[in-house]
Amino acid sequence: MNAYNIFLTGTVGLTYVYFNPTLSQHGHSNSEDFYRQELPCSDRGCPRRCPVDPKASVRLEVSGGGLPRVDSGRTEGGTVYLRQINADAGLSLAYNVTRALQIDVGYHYSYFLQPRTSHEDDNAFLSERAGSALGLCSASELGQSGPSLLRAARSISYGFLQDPARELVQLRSATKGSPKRLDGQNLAAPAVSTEPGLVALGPARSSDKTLKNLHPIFRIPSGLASFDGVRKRAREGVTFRARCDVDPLGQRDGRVVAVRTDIEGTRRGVAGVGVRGPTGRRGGTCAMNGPAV
Amino acid sequence: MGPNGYLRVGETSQRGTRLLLNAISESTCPSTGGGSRVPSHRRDALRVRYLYEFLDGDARFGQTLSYNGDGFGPGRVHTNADFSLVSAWTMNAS
Repeated sequence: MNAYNIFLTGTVGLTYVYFNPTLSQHGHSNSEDFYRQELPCSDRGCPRRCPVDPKASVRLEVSGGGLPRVDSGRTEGGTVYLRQINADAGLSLAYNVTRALQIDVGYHYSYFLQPRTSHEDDNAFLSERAGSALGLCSASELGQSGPSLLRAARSISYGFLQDPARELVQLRSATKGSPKRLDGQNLAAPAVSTEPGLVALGPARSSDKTLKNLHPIFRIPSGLASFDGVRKRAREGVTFRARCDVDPLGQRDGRVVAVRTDIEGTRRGVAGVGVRGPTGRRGGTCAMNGPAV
Repeated sequence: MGPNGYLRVGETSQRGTRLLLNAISESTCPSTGGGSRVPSHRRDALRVRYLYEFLDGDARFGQTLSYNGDGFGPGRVHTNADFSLVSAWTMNAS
């Protein structure tokens, strides 16, 4: 994020198209299998996000890619040559309805051109579409520019497993049954199962199958990756502390001036946070918005 | 708003008819899609997107269409040119 509060991101990737157009009339049909000669095409993008409000931001996204005329590696009456141009552009307003749901409304333009030629074939497909676009993003999609996504994702993991040591103990006591959280919820089917994007946040580095299965999103500190590790560290007199994800509460001139953390052991968020650091004002207090977890 | 563009499929020496997309799909259907992000690093994420574009419909043509070396029409012709696109890319935030 720069001095103007604009998130700058870059994307590099691949695009693959499946296209098998078919014409039919009176029970007779004919199709051309474009997909057999497809090649992954490079794609680069440059999204921008400019926050205009704590809950709203303006997004501008431009991306595109292409292939020069290349040998597709397939033959159909001779070598099939493929060319491709694809481009996307969008301007939208994103609004966070809740911490886990975002609505995105705006304008989107897409362009796709693919000529394909061989000694036998002379095919071409051009699609150009422009119009309004409406999107709904879940928590894993929130903040398409990265940092916000991490905040959203971490807020879920924070609410889900805020005290690994206590839960490890709880899991150990429930090794033969279905593991439960302290509040009685079943850990084998956590809320994260609806958020596949979060699975790779931090797989448990554990040889223990139970832990591996039950803590897919949580970074377990090294040394605590197994029950034996917990027991060993406890013998050494190490006091376990919860790993609390920290969510920046407010910013002034791009600096984080206060953080919201869990009141350890209470499973509640704080109601008010004193502002620390050089903010230009003294004695201010920020009221925390959003649900306490 | 429906898509603009065309589809042309020719075979050997028989050049295909250029079929306008807004003519072959009479009904305007929106494209739809979904995506997911898999954070892989503090500042990076793998993003996957799937887009499906509906280009399906019936249209009446007054002349014979040449498509993939075959002739269709004149009359009502059904076209199914649905189009799907999968993208995967990494994203870096700065």
